[in-house]
Amino acid sequence: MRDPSDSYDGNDHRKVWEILPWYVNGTLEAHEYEFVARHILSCQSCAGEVSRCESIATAVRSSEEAKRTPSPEHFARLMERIDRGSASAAPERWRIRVREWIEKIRLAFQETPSLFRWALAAETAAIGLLAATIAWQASVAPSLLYQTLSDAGSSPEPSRVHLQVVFADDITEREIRKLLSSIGATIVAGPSPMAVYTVALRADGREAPAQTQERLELLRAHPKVRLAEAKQP
Amino acid sequence: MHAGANETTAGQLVHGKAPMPPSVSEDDLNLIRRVVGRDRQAFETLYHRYSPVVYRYLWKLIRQREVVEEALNDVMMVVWETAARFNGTSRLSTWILGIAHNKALKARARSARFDAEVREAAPDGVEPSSPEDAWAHRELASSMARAIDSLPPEQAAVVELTFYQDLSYAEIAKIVGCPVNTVKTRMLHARRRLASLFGGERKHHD
Repeated sequence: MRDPSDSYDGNDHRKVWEILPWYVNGTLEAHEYEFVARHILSCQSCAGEVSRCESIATAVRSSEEAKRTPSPEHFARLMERIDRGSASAAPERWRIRVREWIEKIRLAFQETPSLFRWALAAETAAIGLLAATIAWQASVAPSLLYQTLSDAGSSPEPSRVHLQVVFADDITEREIRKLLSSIGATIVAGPSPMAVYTVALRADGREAPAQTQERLELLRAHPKVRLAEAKQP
Repeated sequence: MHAGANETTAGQLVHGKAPMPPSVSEDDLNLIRRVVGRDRQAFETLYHRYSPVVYRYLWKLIRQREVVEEALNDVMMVVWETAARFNGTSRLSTWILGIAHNKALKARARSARFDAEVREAAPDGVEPSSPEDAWAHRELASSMARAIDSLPPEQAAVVELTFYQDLSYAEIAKIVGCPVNTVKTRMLHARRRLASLFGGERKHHD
């Protein structure tokens, strides 16, 4: 129970009360930790709650689930699934990527203050409306769109095929240059924190999947290439 | 880390642990880099390091052995396939548990039998002890564990991630995909529910 003689501020008490579990597990920021430690010296109620949280922690750690482990053959089954090939997993990878993007947008939206959130929603709606209008104009009245003389006969630049490559730690810059040059590729991004480079194959307008595969195999055959795969669009 | 010897002493008086900054260890970073490079041995090491933690977490949320094993398989498959996307801004366990949380929710949604089976597995009720000795009693832990198992999954997840995985509320928010205030609220509801079962009196705080 709360001791009525305590002289702490009720608001502080509430703040401390809600973060006590993370005081017990030792993950509070330093300033929060000090805040809680100081408060509970003069608050019997919170000190009691610390003990209760510790009881919960003890119960969680000693529960039967702590002894549960995956069956011994589980890892072998997992490796079999990996060996069955990544081709069947391609749609799954695509879905994961979309889900990740949606999740990122959702989290960013949640963390935005509500006033800005509404402004952002209004802006997004306006942009959507604009895009829909442009699309409608393009489909219904193409002649209304502005055209220049140079538009005639122009064709889009052939899209370039991108690959993801991870090199061995001991590869030299010269070796990378020589290797990429031999397959007509250039680095366009990387290395990522996971040491992944994105390379683009030289566009000549007639890159066929078989040619891409051939260049991938050349990369994979190199002793200092640890991973080479086509980048998903 | 927290500052000052005085504060440390104050904290120790009531058993709190000093804070540990969450960051990915060099060892884990090297491991995941090798997994990105399709190093099977590294993947096996990663599997043995994290599968018990992931398995336990999935079990807390799913509670059907076959479904849990399938979900663990899916989680580790995603780790293998998307290791290059781990950006090193959180602990590796946080990233993997985030994947596990999503898989668990999907598995739960797929399993129409889930709710009925959990209701069968959950205790009919926890024998409440008297308020005076409930929290001090030796047998409390097992009764408490059963009570925790009867929590709604979103509360059970926060309790598990806090007290078993020792994660901060910010890391938990990342894993379960909700704001930190929601994590705190779920924990408050869980604590309130456990307190009501074990005779704690604290309604003026909630």
